[in-house]
Amino acid sequence: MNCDEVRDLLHACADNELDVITSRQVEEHMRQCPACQNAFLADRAVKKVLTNLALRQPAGDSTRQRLLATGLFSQPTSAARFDAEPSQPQSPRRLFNWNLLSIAASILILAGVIWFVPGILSHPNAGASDADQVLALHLRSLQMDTHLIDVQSTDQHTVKPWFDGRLDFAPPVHDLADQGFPLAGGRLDYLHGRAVAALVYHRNKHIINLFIWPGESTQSTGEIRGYNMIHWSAGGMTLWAVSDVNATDLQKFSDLFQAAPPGIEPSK
Amino acid sequence: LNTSGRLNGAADGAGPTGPANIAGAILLHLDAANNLARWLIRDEHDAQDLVQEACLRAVRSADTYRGGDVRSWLLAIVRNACFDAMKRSKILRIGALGEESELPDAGTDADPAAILERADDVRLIREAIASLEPEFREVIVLREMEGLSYKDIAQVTDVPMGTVMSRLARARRQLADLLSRKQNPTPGNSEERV
Repeated sequence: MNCDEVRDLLHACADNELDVITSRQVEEHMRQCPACQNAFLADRAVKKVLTNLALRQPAGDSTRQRLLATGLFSQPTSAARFDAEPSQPQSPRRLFNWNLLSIAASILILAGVIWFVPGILSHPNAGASDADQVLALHLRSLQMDTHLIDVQSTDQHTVKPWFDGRLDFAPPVHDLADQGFPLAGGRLDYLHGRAVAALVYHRNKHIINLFIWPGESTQSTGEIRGYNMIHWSAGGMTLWAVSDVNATDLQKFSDLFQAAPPGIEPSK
Repeated sequence: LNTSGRLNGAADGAGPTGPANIAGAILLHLDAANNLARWLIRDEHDAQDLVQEACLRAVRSADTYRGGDVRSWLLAIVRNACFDAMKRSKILRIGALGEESELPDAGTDADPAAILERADDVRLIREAIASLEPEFREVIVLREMEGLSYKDIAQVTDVPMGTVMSRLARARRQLADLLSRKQNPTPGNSEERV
């Protein structure tokens, strides 16, 4: 990549809207090009400056009242409020919705039916996109030797600080070597257009990827195409463990990770 | 195999679809609509009137809503109303942007630290944003203040993703240059009244 090509992509890199391979090429170029790196840092500085909330100009009450007075608008419902979730790009959204209780009920019945069908995680609605994408990231990390690990270390105190400045959140990192799941390192990955943390653990000859990003969600376990997956949330983070180790081992890993002493807690 | 709950990650835009819910959703995106209009149309009352008209138009044409993100759909209506108003009052210089876009991206020698020092100077940041061309200003507002994805911005502004990306890049370069200067940026390029 030359400077011209990189310049076109820098801001998309700052927005986490690039695919993994392209963003890696851009980062590689920036390591050798101070000018492009400066342009990137300037982009980031501009983004940061524009987060000042005083810049936003929300609607006044008078506009709202005038609209309500037309009778065309109902008072905001919780159903609509769901749609108006905070506007972080691609942030995971909550699914709870009082006004759609009847739909929720049908989903519960559907879930009851699906319970008996192997591969709940590949259900086309809801978590399918997350589960499928997490598995795709796992498979890709295994196909490309150079992609598996960005920071190679068995020391959680090396891996955790490495994420500083690369992510807008601080993922929890625990070494579980004593319990048979040694930490091998970490890397950045991209899911739903945002950067997520990926921790790499070994289990005998197997590899476990643990993906972490901010957001709450409910717990689940399952299996897609022979890969076991466990999904939980803690401390404001959503965590997905995926591996070809057997389900019992992966469950053990998940239990150990959740029980690990908070040596360095996620800061937010 | 077990599951103790539903999985996270429903498809985007899994919001309300009924007309009543659309009306409610429009009200809840009123702040975003107003913010966009205020940044495009300088006069506060003109902007409010445009937002109100656009919301009424939106709720009356709720049956044209084809699913997806209600916010993007509403913002597109508001955005088009603003650009129509600017065209009527001849604020928009048609073609001016196209010529400028042909310029190669020269990058920036702006000092990131100097930009960050201005983070609390709201007046200066406002002036810098206001001095951008409307097409650049709207992508900045939609991305940085409303948090829309490139895809959603492309939908709202009705241009290809590539155009969204190049406009964002150029808008940020201009802001970087303006904000890293010691002196104040030049005032807005046009008085935007409708």
